[in-house]
Amino acid sequence: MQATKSFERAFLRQLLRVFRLSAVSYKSMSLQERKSAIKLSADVAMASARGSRKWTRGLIAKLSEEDEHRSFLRLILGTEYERLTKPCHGSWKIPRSKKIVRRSLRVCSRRKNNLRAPHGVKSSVLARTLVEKRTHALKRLVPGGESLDGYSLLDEALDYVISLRAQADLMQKLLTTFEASKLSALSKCTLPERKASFVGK
Amino acid sequence: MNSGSSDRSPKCFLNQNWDRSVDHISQFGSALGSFMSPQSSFELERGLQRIGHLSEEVPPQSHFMDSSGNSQALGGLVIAGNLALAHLDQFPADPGFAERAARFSSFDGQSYGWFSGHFELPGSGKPSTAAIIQSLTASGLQIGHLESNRQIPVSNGLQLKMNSAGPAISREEMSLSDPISASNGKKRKAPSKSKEKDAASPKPSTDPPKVADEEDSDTKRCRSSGKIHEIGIDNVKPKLEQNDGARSNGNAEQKQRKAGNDKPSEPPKDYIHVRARRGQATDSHSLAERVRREKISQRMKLLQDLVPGCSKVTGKAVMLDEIINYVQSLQRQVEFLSMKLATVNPQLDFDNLANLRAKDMIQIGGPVPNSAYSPEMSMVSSYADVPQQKDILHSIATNGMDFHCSMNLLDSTGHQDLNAHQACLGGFGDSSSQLGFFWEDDLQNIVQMGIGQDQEIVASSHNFHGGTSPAAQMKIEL
Repeated sequence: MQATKSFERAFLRQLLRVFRLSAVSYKSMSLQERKSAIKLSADVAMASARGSRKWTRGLIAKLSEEDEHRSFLRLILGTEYERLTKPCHGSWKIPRSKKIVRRSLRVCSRRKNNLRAPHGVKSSVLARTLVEKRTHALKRLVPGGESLDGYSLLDEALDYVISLRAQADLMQKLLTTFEASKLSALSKCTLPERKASFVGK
Repeated sequence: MNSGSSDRSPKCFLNQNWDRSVDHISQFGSALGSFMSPQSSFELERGLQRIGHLSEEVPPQSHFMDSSGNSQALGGLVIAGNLALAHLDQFPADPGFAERAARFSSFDGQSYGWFSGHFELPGSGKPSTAAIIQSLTASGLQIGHLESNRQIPVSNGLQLKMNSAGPAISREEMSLSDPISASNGKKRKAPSKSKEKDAASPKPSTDPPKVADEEDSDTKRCRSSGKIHEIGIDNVKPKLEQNDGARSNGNAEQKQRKAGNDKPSEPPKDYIHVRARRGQATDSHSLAERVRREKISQRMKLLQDLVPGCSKVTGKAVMLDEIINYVQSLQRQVEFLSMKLATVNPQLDFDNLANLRAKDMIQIGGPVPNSAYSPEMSMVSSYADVPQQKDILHSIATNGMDFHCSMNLLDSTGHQDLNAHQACLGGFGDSSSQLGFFWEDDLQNIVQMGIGQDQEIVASSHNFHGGTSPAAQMKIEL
């Protein structure tokens, strides 16, 4: 599975735009500050490039928790910010009727109680707790995943993984081009000699 | 049967047959009454009568809706096509079985063929008998399983819950009314046996003996909770042949979800048709759970393809563990890369990089049609002094990078590419000079400086592959 080209394009465009905008302020920051600023802008670029998904909203919501970030986000995203932070139809959960849920819970619990024998540690119970633990861990990892149920969580995790991978790859390539350009700038002065030496090989 | 609008197709559908079978209905109703509880049999008979008079009146729905709804009437429909009532006395006196029969028999898209076919021959005893009996058996057992008549409101409630709007019955009616579109609109989800997918016209010959066997075994288990019986009327024969005992075929009327399918008629309701598997419960909860579990397993399979090195992993917990590790590693990688970008950034002169457009980036990052791009693509890596980067690259590389495959990628490029690349590969020593040279020529040319040959090959094959991300590449090479 692979991120789409439009996603990659949008991500890079956003990221480069942020770099250009904040190049001046970067000079006055410490390394750590720059790193966190770049990470923030990369996350924002990823979320905006992806569009409207549950994890993108969760991510932007998480990033907007701090006021300073919020103004930054607003600047970058523009109108999209409002759209992305708008609460999505109240809840993320599948709308359920309370009466039905209560009734089904009653039936399920009754059945469980009837079937449950007084065993010790059953392997199924153990497996279930393991899965639950890991589900909680995944919920914490995926932005906005706390309120998702099992299936949506996996769905969002899938999308998130694709986008993360694309983000990492694109940042890598960006890095290489930056470094290459830096080196080229450095070696500009010595270019003619280099060329000759290379041709000679 | 509910409302006038929903009567359309059933009306025309039933009218042709009902004149012939209307007298059967009373017979049938009375026969049923003999072994059903008085109240339910009365309702059933009334339902049958109402169905018979569809063209003349719109029967008050409320009565049916309260109990099992029109499914009882539909059960009457099903039953009415069948004249052989002899077997029916084996059934438990459970009023709800007709509902089950109706539901199980009529909501299957494939069963419509049978259904309509049988309705055209109301007098034909045997084939329909077998089928009906099967369905009734199944439904009877199903009803027995449901413990009491009280369960029906629960399942109705579930249906109502599943149905976004409209009465539960209209759904059934719609399935009755429009077989083609209904079958098109339904989504079959449970991986049942292949025979369940046969649109079978029931072969009468083998039915009666097998049916008798089935009934006996079924009735013995009629009150047991675990066993499921087959309802699929369309698959009567094949199933009968293979049927040693109970087989599950829960028609999915109980199993409705908002699946986004279009509706036959009436207010569009989405539902997924699910067949319960052999030896598994068919009550609505288990079916719902099963569909949910299958959706989840489908997603897990996709994730398995995504996360490298998980092809052999089975089991939810381990898979989740792998996913979590992968997400964490990706997040850590992003952090590290942002740190690296932070070191590079202040020294960058963005004015000089005016030509560094997004398009160029994409050419680096994505597949590019022009051939000039591919030959000279190789990655700059001045990472020799950065062990972490190496580790990340290594981890990415070792996760599936096939050395040979990379080499093949290299070889597949054109001649000039190969030359250029060999030159690149050869010139490890004078990395900066080579870098400068290539960078001068083309923004996209990034000369590879070797960390180690394998990583270099990996990196260059990354870029050679054009747009595909390395991870995707890894996957391919896995």
